[in-house]
Amino acid sequence: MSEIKLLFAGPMGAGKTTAIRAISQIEPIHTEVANTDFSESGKAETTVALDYGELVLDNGHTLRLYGSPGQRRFEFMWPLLAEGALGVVVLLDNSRPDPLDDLQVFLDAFARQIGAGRVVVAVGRLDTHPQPGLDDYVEAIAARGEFLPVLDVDVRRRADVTGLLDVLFDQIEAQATDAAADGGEDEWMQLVRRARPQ
Amino acid sequence: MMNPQDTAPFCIAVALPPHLKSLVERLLQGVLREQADADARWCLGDAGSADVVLRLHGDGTQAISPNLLADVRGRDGRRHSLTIEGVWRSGAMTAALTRIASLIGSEPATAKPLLALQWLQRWSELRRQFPAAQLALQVGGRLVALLGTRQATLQTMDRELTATPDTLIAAMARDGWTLTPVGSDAAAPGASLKPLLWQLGLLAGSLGALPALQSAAALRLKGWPYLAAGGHRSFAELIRHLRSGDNNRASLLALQLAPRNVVDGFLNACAVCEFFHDDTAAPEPRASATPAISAAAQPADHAAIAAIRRTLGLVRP
Repeated sequence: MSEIKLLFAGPMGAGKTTAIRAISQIEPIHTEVANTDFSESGKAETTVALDYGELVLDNGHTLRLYGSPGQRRFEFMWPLLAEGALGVVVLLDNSRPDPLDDLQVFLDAFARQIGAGRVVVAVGRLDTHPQPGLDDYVEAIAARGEFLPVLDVDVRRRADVTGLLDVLFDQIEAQATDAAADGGEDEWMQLVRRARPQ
Repeated sequence: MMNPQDTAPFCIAVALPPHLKSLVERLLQGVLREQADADARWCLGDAGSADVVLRLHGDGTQAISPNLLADVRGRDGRRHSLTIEGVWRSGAMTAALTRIASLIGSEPATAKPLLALQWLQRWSELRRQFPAAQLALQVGGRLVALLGTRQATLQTMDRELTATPDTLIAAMARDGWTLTPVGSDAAAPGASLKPLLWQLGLLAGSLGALPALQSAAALRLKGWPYLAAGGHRSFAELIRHLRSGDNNRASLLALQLAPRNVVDGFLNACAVCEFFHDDTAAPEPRASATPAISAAAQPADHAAIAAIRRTLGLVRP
């Protein structure tokens, strides 16, 4: 593998561009334009295509960091962008009107990656907007029968962003151990195996 | 907690051949006279009862200026050895005494775990007795926070001391603490108490698991315990084994995923933060129409993760 992909997803204004900038070795390439969609966010500019950053790893390979556009009208793109990604970071903004609803939207979009333990949720602006709390997010995720990390982050701090990735990698590795214990099959393969006549 | 130095001076003994003993004792007396106003007070005494005994370092009987070895018995029972080089040089003995004083009076290894256990016991008792009360947390006789038992909240009265769980725990260990009910919990505003509870739970792991965990037939996490982020590397594996309710403390310890104190600390922390289900019935599997991508990470994934971790400097115990 010479190229590895990580996707940062989340609603407008959640800090995807900032998170990529925190770890990218190049100045992120972004496609910011004046925001005309004030129903979703009051920020002056927003990403309409992709953010892109890079990190050259110590083995010479390149980690490509993609930030998806946050507007709901680009919802169809999110799972496409996540195809082939090592993992997905869902950034949420607790100052938005209904961040738990945002959570549901993004969990739906990345259901395939969640099943493989390749998603981590990061909630920003909890310091200024403490409600809902992280326990509420955990409860909402559990109510869907899912299990994935939810963390409090400030994407302006590099340590928070790298810590987030560390948890994501822990999760991928732990899930891989589970899969190995199950014989390394994904859900499709398990379904086929169960359906096969004995 | 009292400073050990308030109860007795540190006692130092000299166990050297006679011709050196008198010289070193005279040197010490001179240094101690100069230190009369310093924090650490010393007295000369017998080797049998002393906090520190000065001996020759190796076979230095023939050396003109032998190095000394200080055998230090800490007040927590631990023993330390410290080499004092160039003892005859001005300032060498003074510097050595300062270092020795810190070793003798260093905080007992069990002080914070014991504090953590006592604190959690007190919190649990009061929460059971007063499910909607406000508790006053005093440190060194001073009110530093009001705690709400209903939703486990902390309203700070001293931003400096309560800045982080570590600063608060250090202050409680240094100055002592009390937790007492002061009224009803009228939905007082406050931050979550869970970061402090988590830290106390981890610390208490050095003394074992909380009683409820020792007898629990099965343990199942409600969700990913968000305070575990950045903790011991084994936490990810422990979380994996606590998802389904197939494990309890004994089975986790048998897996040898981490040292016992780490496992017990993690379980304690999850328990006091109420991250475990009260009942351990198996969860309903999610009826998903979306097939998951393969969870089996490819060898390339492992290599990529290792390379990213190295490049970003992600190193944890």
